[in-house]
Amino acid sequence: MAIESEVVKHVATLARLNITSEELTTYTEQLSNILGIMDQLDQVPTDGVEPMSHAVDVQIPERDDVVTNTNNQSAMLANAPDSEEGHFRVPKIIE
Amino acid sequence: MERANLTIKEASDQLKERKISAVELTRAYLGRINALNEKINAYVTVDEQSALKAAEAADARIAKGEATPMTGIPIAHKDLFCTEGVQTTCGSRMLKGFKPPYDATVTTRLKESGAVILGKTNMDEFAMGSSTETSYYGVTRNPWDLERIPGGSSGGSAAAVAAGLCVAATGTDTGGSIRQPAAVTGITGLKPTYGRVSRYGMIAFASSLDQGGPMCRTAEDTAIMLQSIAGHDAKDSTSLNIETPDFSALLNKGIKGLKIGVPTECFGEGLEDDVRSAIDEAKKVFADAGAELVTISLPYTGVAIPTYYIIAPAEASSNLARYDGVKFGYRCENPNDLQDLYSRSRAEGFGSEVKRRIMLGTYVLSSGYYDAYYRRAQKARRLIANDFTKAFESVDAVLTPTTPGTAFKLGEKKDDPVQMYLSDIYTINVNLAGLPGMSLPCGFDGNNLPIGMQLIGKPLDEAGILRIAHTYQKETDWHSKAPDLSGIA
Repeated sequence: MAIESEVVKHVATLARLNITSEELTTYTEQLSNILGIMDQLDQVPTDGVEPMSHAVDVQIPERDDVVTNTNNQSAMLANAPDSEEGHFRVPKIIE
Repeated sequence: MERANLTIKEASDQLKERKISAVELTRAYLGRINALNEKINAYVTVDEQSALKAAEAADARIAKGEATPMTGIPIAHKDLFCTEGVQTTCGSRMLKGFKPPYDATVTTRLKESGAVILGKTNMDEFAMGSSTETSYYGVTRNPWDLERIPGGSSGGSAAAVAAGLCVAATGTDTGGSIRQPAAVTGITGLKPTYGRVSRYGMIAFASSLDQGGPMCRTAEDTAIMLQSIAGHDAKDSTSLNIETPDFSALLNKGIKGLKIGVPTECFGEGLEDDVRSAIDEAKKVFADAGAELVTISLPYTGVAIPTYYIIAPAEASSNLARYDGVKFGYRCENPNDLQDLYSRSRAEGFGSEVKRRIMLGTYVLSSGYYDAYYRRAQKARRLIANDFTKAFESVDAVLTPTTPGTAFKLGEKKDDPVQMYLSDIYTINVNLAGLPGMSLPCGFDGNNLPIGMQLIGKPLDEAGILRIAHTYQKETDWHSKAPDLSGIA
């Protein structure tokens, strides 16, 4: 299935990806080609087939609701691009 | 120690017999890395100090008689396993300089076994690729021909093992990322059953498909390394709470009377002649060892590619949403506002293949397309898995090529995603079905490039395919071949 560049632009917005106009052209063409092979699935008789979302059929395990991790705030903040007084810092959101 | 093809078994024996110390062994590998890594680019990070410290500890442990088969063995981790305090990039600019505050369970278990971690190996960005060309840290070259790809995404680990820059390495496999690089570099690699090895601390790509595993020279080594990383982990809710068999103990049972299925769908159009004839020869070895080769059918093999390239990008688009430039990872310069911070950090931090897959995943999950793509792919996944369930009613294992051809040239498929995706054609259905699969060397093509074959096992039957592979490796010597690197050192 071919895909319009407007759709690709919308998808990039949803995915929070800034893309240039050259990228938009390239991605539109490449995504159309990739979606072209997806159309092979039209030939698969999937009516009544139970969707498979996981490789192994197991129940989600339960555990006691106890704290297992310690307070390692400084280790967590060590990788932050910007932080101040124990918080992650981002640009001002509310005017 | 000038041999590139030393095995875990051989090194472990030499360490125990005190013919060599772990420190000497580690120094020898660090020397090889210094001489060869610049040309091959298998490693993103080499951690000399920690490696030598671990080697000293290993020597002390060996002296006390408390060694495991992994104690003192110099290994490498794919740069996707979190290593506490050691840069973990996942091949991405996004994670340049990221030092995880904790170890992955696989990392922890190998450390506890006394293995020496030499460093972190290069990979396709976020494990998305089949050639290690999408890494932000440059391409990795195939030690058999430096103008060719080492496979991917675990291409750095494969090249490191093949070139003797470590004895063994870890890899991860979402659609073939252990097996395909193993095949094109002439080593042995195994993707365990989904849930056999903990995913805790493995940077996520597609969570219902990702699985870590060993990349080694032999099936015997693969059994040893799998033993040390397998087993239940409460920190991974998909980790299977079952007993781990003694993989090494089951290696020598022979294959007399075993039935090996050969699916017709995997030997059709698109398979290179050299690969086909190498596997024909391998079939004779299996038959001579007493196995019975049975023709089988896996009718939905042909739709594995579209199924996978819907499901994997869908999961990836969700997993990679966490990289927003706030808590860790790359942040763009001077963001105007929060939206700009998100969109520009992601645009600048991710490479083009990752962005392509995020967009593909976002598209197939978006309102209006979910049923047409994602839901339908999940149904096709069930049919692909059913193919194997049916096949395993009459056979004990399945034999296929690992890849349609040998290592291709650098750049050859880089700008054609569809062609690149087709190199996973024989491996991805194994991930979709959650089965164990391994690749082992079975010959060379006319250009002296390694050829790999794939063995697929029943769920949790890693021991079964390891036993078949070990039987084959006792009869052949493809696995002991090493590339001639004298010209580049």
